[in-house]
Amino acid sequence: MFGVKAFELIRDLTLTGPEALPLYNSETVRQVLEEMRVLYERNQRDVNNSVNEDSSYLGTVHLRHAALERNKRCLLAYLVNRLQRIRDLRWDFGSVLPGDVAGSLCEQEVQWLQNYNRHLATYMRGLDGLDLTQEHCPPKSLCLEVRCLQDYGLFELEDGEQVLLKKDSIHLLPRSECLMLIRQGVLEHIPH
Amino acid sequence: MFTSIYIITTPDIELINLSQLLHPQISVCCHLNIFKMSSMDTPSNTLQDSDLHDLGLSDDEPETATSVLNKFQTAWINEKLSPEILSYQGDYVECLMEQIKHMDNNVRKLDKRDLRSGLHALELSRIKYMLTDYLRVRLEKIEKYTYTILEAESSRSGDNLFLSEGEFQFAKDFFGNTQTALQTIALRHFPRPLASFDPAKMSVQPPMNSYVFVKAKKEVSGLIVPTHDPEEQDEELDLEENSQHILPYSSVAALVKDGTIMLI
Repeated sequence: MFGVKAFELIRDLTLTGPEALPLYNSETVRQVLEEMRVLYERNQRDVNNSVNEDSSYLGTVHLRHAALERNKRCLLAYLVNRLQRIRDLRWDFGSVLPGDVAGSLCEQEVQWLQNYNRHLATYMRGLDGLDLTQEHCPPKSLCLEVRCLQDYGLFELEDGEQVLLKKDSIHLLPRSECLMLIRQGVLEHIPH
Repeated sequence: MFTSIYIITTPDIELINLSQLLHPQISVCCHLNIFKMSSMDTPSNTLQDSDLHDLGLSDDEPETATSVLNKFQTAWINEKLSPEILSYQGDYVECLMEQIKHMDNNVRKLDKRDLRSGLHALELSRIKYMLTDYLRVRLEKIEKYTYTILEAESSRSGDNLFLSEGEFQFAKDFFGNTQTALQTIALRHFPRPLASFDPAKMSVQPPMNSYVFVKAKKEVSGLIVPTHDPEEQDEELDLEENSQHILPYSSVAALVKDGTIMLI
């Protein structure tokens, strides 16, 4: 049946939930493109036939064309939604995505992300270096109590003080400086 | 809520007073006194009307940091809640950025053991959050409705632009980047007649008819609210001052932009 493969792509996206990025499904994308090629060729043939005043093919041509449009729409929706999620992940993790996520991107998406990072950096440079990717929630306190999840080593604070981040140690650090480490999974916020 | 801290510090204001917080050479509208709320206020602290005229701020009242903050807060809330992008509050953004930079320096100079230094730093980080969130919300909208926003922007003239220069550049770059990605992954493999991509047909439009909570700052009479039922006539509505309503955004869009009502 037409359009099934394209629908599979969309289902891929919904099955993983709105935040996770499923592995780029290159095989299905290829099959959809192949299906479109076949549909188009058959349509082309039938249109050529119907030029010779045999209009009995027209219904089929319409049906195939609708299938083509649907495939196109589904495929583009799949790609655009993936880009949207990649963008969200980039805002969460910073400009370098963690290995397991980066693995589910295809080559062109990696390229897109690099360009995106460049454009975003250009934009933020125009703002006197204001970093928009920090502080996603309104700040409630200056310092956060954090637990260290791994041996990170020495971490230098903005005022020059050095903190030794050892596994399972607990610190009270200025929020602006530890937010990035929390997102990277080095530290864990201990809520009160 | 952002001004509360300035009141706390009133008695000992000498410690962090204006002369320390404000750099004398801060340009344009940033030459404002930050502690308008405090008892330190004297006529000499407020700007003269003639000064304001030079600064390009034609409001009758002198602009103070507090009033800039309040206005910016309204702009931020409107931007956060409206489905479409609103005009860029460049003056306020620049002013706040200067202020933040300056206050940052001053807070740093304070003794760390001083209770006020912590309070100031926290307040400062809240203002910073407001500013970054404003810009962030705008970027999100630009990314989501790139095509619609670029189209609308190109029909506007020089003084009436909704995007800042940086945002406009970003929108163009983002649009081009996404187009290229779609092109290389999919479109160029399509059968030729289908390979074209018409963003006007396929792009996402802001949900202009979504319902928003609004509060009237002034009285509004004769607001036309379209009804869903084609047989009924459009409803006409008067909003009293300070009254709150739930209305479709499209019917109040113009009023939000000119500041007669605000979103809540």
